[in-house]
Amino acid sequence: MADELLESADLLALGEQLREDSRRLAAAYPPRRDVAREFDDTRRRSPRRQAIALAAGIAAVGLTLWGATAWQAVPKRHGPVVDRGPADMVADATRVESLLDTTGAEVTIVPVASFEEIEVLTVPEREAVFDLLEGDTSEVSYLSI
Amino acid sequence: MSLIDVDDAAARYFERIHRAALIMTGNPWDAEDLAQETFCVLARESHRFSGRSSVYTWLYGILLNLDRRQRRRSGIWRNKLRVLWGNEERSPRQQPAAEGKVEVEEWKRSLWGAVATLPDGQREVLVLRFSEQLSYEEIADVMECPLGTVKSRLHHGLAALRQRITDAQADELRDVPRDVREVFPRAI
Repeated sequence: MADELLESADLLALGEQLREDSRRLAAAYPPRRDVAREFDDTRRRSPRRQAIALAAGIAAVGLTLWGATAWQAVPKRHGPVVDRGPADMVADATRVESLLDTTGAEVTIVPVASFEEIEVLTVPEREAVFDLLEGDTSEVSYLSI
Repeated sequence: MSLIDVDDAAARYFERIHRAALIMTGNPWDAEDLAQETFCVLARESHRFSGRSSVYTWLYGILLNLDRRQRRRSGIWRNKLRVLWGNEERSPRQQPAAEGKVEVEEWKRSLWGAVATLPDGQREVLVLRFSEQLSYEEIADVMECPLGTVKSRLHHGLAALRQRITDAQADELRDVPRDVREVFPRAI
């Protein structure tokens, strides 16, 4: 390309060299096609669509949290009942005594973290538990179901 | 209402904008980021386009602004790092990563590597004229300056480039340090 400004030959040559270098570099490093497509995709996410996606995301997270909470609240009927280990040992003597009163079992039970597991047992299951404990003469009784 | 069809503009001009970004940054990764950011700005600000210039000259204007901003930030970070490092002489291994050059070899060996050391005004005019083949009027439009300023910057930019090459050649004859030879490898 002739350039009326570049009267001197060496400046003209420099300009030509810059053009040539630009062509060579552009050929060596063309834009990745997916870059343009990524831009299109990003742009097409309209505010309305983004709001819907956000609401759906929040709903999904909420549902997951609710599910996890509900799952934890479900009593584990087949898990260990008494033997929870020292870290979980929180005394609840009143509830133990009331349980013993109702069954009349003459056993010693170390209060555990929670007796909810026993309370949710059916009456025959609870009877069976105390029958098992009745024959145990040790001060601390352990039982796993 | 916007006068620009952004999808159409991306399909037509992405390659051109990417090429200019590549020439200015010297590496394809920054070039892609810069080109994408340019079109994101176009999408956000398309309502501001008045139609007095063409879409691609407007795009080049956005690109130059983003590039200037990026360079300014980079300069600020480099200065902060220099302060943190106590401005001491350091071996290359001790230099912070941010100061390391990431340009590709082809770019460094090309004349554009030397153009990058020129002042912004001259550098940008050279890119728009010799890489992007814009007319003087279009360059004036992009840079929002008079036509005479464009011509002056072009002339001085090329003259400065020639001077640097000449200096590098002279330095090479005097067995100058290696880092200068790396800046102008072709000229030597």
